[in-house]
Amino acid sequence: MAKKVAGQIKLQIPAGQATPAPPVGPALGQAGVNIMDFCKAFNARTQGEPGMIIPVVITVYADRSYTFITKTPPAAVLLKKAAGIDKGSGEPNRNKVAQVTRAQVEEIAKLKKPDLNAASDEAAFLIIAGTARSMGIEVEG
Amino acid sequence: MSLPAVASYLRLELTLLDQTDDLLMAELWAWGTLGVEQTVGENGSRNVVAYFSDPLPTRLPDVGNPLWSHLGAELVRVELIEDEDWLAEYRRQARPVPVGEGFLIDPREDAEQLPAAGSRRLLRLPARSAFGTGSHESTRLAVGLLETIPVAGRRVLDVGTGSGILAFAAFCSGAEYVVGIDSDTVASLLAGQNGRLNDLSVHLLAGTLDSLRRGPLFDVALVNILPKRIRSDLPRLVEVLAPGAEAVFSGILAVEKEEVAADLAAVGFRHRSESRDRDWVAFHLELAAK
Repeated sequence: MAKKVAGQIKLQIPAGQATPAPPVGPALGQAGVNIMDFCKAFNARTQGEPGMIIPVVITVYADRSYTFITKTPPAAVLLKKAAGIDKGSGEPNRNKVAQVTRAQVEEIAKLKKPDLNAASDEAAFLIIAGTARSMGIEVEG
Repeated sequence: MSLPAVASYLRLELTLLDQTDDLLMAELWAWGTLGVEQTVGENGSRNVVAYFSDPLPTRLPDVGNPLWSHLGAELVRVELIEDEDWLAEYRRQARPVPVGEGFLIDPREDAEQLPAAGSRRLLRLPARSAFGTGSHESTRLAVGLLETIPVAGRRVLDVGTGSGILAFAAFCSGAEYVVGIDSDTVASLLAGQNGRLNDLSVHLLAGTLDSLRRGPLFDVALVNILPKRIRSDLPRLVEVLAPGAEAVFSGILAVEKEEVAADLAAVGFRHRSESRDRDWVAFHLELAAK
């Protein structure tokens, strides 16, 4: 019989770096989940992607057990990294022009494809290129 | 009995104005957020809670700064929060759990009544921010394999001791002495508390393998650490083990089993047995005579 779902928790945390500190502690703590067990499992599954930001959806059941799925890093985070503008000043200059190459967009599209509603590689490319444009990042070539 | 809060955080609460939170997330990460939670409010609003270390790594725009709406969000409030004992709710609901053949682990706080352990040895390990209170597969696998090793009269090292659970299990199995070491200072303090709570004289240290004297000090090694974290320390671990020492390695995902086995073989460990629980495996190994 399917277990009764008590709730879903959506977080973004760095790969392999989950700790009982916020945001994991407060989010899972009030749900009564064993935070240390979650950290161990999350870090084990994501330890091969150092430096990546991992969205994770945790389903908590009525008996306080849980399952989780990880997703691909947010496109905008990957694009900022590729463009070399992933360190903020707190007052970013909106007119500053950043650029990424076509190859970089292709690479991000390939990584993101499992989470994109894209029928083809070309469609995935266009989605990521669209995100880049909306962020003011120019795609070269 | 709890440790004082050692850190505080800034908690930013935001409401999304747009369908997508892509731009906001990218900016929060660029500003050095520690992590974010995405929630849905009672009125259906989509909210984002972002945490930053205190003091802030960078200057953030204030409430009302137009930059937030440019990012498709409204900053609702900023508050300073203290690190808390986030496992309190888990402890309140947790139940004692049998581990291996010989142990009953009680992860609760001050249980009104100690559980009936029968023929099992009761270990009281209140679940806090140190790993290993009996509920995780890797802990159960490690204890299960430890129980197949003749530990009595031997010298045991528990690397990455967390709550101290494997060190205590080895001590209860008659080890001559047990050293538990953890690079996380808080974990080694909590393990020390647990040792006193259970009246077990295990040596619990904060530090890395480098803080141990060189030489064949141990006959048994217990390691429940993610493989990528222990990998570079494996040669150092071998240095403190006696020839023919036995080891339990746990915390290994089944999908990375072959790769980890190869790393362990490369430093001289021979495969004795292994066990599996869902996604996790653990190895019982023997160090070749030098």
